[in-house]
Amino acid sequence: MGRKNINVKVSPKGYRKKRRRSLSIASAIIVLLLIIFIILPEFISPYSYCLRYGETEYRFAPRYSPPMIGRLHFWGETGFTLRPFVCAIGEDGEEDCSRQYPIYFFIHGDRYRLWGIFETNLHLFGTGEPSDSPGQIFLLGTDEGGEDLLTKILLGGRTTLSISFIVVFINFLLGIILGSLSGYYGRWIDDIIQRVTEIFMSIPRLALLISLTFIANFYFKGTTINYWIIVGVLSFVNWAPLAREIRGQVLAVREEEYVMAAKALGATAGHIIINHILRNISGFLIVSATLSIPNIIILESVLSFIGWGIQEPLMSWGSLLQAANRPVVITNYPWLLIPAFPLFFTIFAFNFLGDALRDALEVRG
Amino acid sequence: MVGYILRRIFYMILMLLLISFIAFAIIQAMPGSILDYIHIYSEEDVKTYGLNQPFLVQYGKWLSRLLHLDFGIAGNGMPVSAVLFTEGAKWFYSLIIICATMLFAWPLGIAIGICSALWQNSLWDRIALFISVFGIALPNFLLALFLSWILYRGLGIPPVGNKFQLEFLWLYILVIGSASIISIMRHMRSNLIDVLTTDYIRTARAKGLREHVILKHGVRNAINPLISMLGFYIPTLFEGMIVAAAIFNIPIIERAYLEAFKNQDPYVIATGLLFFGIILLAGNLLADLLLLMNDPRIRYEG
Repeated sequence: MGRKNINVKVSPKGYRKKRRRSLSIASAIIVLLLIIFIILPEFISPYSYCLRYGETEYRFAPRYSPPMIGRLHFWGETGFTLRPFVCAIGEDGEEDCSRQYPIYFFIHGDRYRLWGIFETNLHLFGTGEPSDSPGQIFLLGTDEGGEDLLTKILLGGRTTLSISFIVVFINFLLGIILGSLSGYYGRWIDDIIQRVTEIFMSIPRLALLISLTFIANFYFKGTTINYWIIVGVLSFVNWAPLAREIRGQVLAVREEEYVMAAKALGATAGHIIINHILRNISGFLIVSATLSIPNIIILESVLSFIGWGIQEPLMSWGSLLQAANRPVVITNYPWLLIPAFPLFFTIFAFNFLGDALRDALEVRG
Repeated sequence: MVGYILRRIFYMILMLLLISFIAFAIIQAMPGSILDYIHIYSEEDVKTYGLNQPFLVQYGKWLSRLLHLDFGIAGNGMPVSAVLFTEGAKWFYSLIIICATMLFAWPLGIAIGICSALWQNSLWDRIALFISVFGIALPNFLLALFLSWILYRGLGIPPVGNKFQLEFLWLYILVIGSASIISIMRHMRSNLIDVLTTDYIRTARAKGLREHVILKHGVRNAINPLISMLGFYIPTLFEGMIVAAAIFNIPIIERAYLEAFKNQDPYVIATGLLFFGIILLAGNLLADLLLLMNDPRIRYEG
């Protein structure tokens, strides 16, 4: 029974390898797109959220307007047109096709500050109508407050992804320093660092995360602080397993002949760690950095979802999904679940990219 | 062996002391004193818990009360043990859910893993791998959201409500256990594939042993790394239970713990953190002992 199955057929394997390769390329493209999205969210979305938040300017924005992605019309009175238009939104949210608004690329709309520096009002697409006109384009619908969901998803993606990148960076910095100290020097340094990691690993992560955010919220209040609290708390809680893994890798490399040779030539410990040991485990570091990004994304989303993460007016995918936490609401307005899709595909892409890198760099374990 | 266990337990108690200190430090880090958050304490309570005394005295009093299984008094005047565990049989529901999840996730994950490894690259294996690739990218709260949406659309019954619903136990299990099932299945598959290509399995085949005997040897060896990961799965289960409690509103310990933060209830927060730490450490100890039983090659010094 099992005997036949040990033999691996050759031809499908090559096919699978090729398909795997194309999937890896696809996931790399998704990651690149995500990076573009997090650099330019205000430009890509037709509206700017931060400008409107707390402003008194009247906007025509019905609550829970359904997604208009299926309401882009390519057939006008004159037949097929390459410039799609949207119909006006009536007060009840239904479309009213007596008034049609064509969609333009690179249109001027809401003002925003790109990266907090350049003040501009250029958007990738939009109807170019003033904000009190019913000719608005809500591609993914609006939420409870009449906010454009696409804008929120793009801005939420920026929060989620930038948090996970920063946290992974800090974790690796800490993990590399502590892990290589602990692995290279051994003895009492190793003992102390290992005991500390053990303490960190025997407190449930999520409970510690919630407690630390809870405490931090007493002392620091404000939008940007909220962001850095989450970054700090997530980095504080997650470095321990990583430091331990890096220690294991350093231990495995420490006894290699080239390290001995460097030692015999009188190289300093710092030189050996940076130029010999870390360079030799760089493949492992790259792969585990890529694979730990989705973990941080999930943790951040869960934290924001249960209400102890990113708070208004900042948003992340997890906090957007909080609005969909009531079955009655999702049943009536299922588009509130849309933030789940970018979340899913992001995690998927990073996981897949990590696996592909592992294969490409031939990292063991 | 006995020495090893005793040493582990001693070590565990040290760890718990540290965790209890961290837990107490967290509630003391709240601005002001505990008395600022809870106003219902009587003179006697203030004296018992040393609420008007310095940090270390309070911590000592709390620890000594812990030994009497008195975890403090919650904001609503009830003892913490009632708020966190006994009121509305929370401990019982938590226990049911966690046992059901373990009993479901482990056999299922191991069975799928074994089948996938035996019929490697078959249609079955492909389907299992496909589902696992997607399942890993699906955090449990998304799964819970989608399932409750589908249920509400299909049946018209929301799986939420301030009660434990036995007919939705499968839902809780799926949400809490999905991550574990997938991870167990993948590990089991890759371990068994590795083991089945080793020399002793080839020798067993050459001797003409029947396949199920070979499987027994293979599975016993492939399962060891999984057992040592048992301790690792407990935080995953715990995270799943917090998410399930938040979404389905089940009255379990985890929900009481979440509510404690909302109500700013110091003693419940500290006790909860300590309790989850105990579960985690006990799970790790249990995993090591199970590994010792399953793999006689392992000898712990001591």
